[in-house]
Amino acid sequence: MEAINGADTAWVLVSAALVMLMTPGLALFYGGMVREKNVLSTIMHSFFILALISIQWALWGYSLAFGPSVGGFIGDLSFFGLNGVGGEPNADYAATIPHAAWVVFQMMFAIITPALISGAFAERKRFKAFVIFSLLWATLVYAPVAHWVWAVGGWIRELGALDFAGGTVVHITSGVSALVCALVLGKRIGYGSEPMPPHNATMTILGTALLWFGWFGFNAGSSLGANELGATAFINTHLAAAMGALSWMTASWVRHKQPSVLGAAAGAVAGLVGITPAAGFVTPMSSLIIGFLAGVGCFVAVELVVRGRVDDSLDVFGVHGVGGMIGALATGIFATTAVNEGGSNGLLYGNPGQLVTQLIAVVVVAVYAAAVTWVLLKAIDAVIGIRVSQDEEQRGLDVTQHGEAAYQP
Amino acid sequence: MDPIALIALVLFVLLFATWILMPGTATGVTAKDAEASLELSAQKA
Repeated sequence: MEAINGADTAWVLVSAALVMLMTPGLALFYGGMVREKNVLSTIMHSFFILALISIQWALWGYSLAFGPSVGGFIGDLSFFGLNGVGGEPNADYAATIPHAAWVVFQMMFAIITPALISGAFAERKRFKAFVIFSLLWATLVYAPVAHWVWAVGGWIRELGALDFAGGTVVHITSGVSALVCALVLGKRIGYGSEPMPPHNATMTILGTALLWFGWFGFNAGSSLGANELGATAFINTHLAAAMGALSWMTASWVRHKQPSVLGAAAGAVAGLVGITPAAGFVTPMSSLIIGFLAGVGCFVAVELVVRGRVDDSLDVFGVHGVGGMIGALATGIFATTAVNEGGSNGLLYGNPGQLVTQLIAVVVVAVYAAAVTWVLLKAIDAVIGIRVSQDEEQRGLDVTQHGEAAYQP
Repeated sequence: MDPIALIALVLFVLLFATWILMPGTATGVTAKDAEASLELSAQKA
């Protein structure tokens, strides 16, 4: 067994802290885009999940995701309550850092994933229904998919699918589930007939900056070491974000005749999403192309969702679902073992089969996440109801759900 | 030259060309537009 490496451990712990910061960043990103009467409730979605999933992960989530595999589909409960998790490394995943560091790093991924979904049902979901949904979703969707894709023995990992930092596990699951949420909950009152402008675009830009910053931990931290691969993932992450911002802004400029600031912010996030599965498998020049594809592709997806009159309030499917799919497939095109010997070559490097494998992973995960999310929402709706009353929605969720207001008159 | 780098360069040039060609860029704004914008701001104030 390798000895614990101080630099690796420090980098992974710092990365965990960076990824943690992404969830409050997401709260600001989403909070700025809703109306003034719903800003606190929207921020609360992310903030509450930060606490809720931390506990869920420590008690059973981690064990289901990364415990010894049961048939390739789910982890067993060997690590229930962090049993046996301490200073000794878990050599299956990270041989040079304490097992506890690996657990807390992965915990931050488990936290932000259900928080991403909350953008689809902003301004109309009952808080109680949100609490139940988030806990069940993290257990029945996130943990199994994380196991399939990342765990030793996971069946999608065994197929050879590549997902460096969560394009499939984090973004496709959350993005597709968000679309299902938008469809099941229905539109907000007044959607399409009255303007619903972002109440504070500067808050959204601040959130974007925090997301971008934290994403260095998300992707470069996934190298699990202070090493060359981490540096490559870091520069890839930054370049894709930059290209995503430029390409979305340009597409929006052509389509709407003005260079949108919020469009540039959304584009940066789209670029970050797109590079997530590829960050440790592709060259920096490939990351530029992936960022471009994600920026333009997600912009088109968001336009189509709006045209389809689906009220995905904060564009979660368009950015995370479609961005995750673009990134996962692009990994099958641009991956090269020259960057990461532990990965595979993609289509451009003589291995078209990798693209097929990536496609299988995308389709299976998307269908599974959509199906389980639909069942969960229908079940919760039947038992306690998932949507606030019309009166509550018109008064705003800050006052009706939390008894507080973000701004005093 | 790495063909992927060449494609990245072409994409960047395309983006840049689009910005230059789009109305409302620094090259597309006339002095009259700027004056009208300032007047509107003054009226709002």
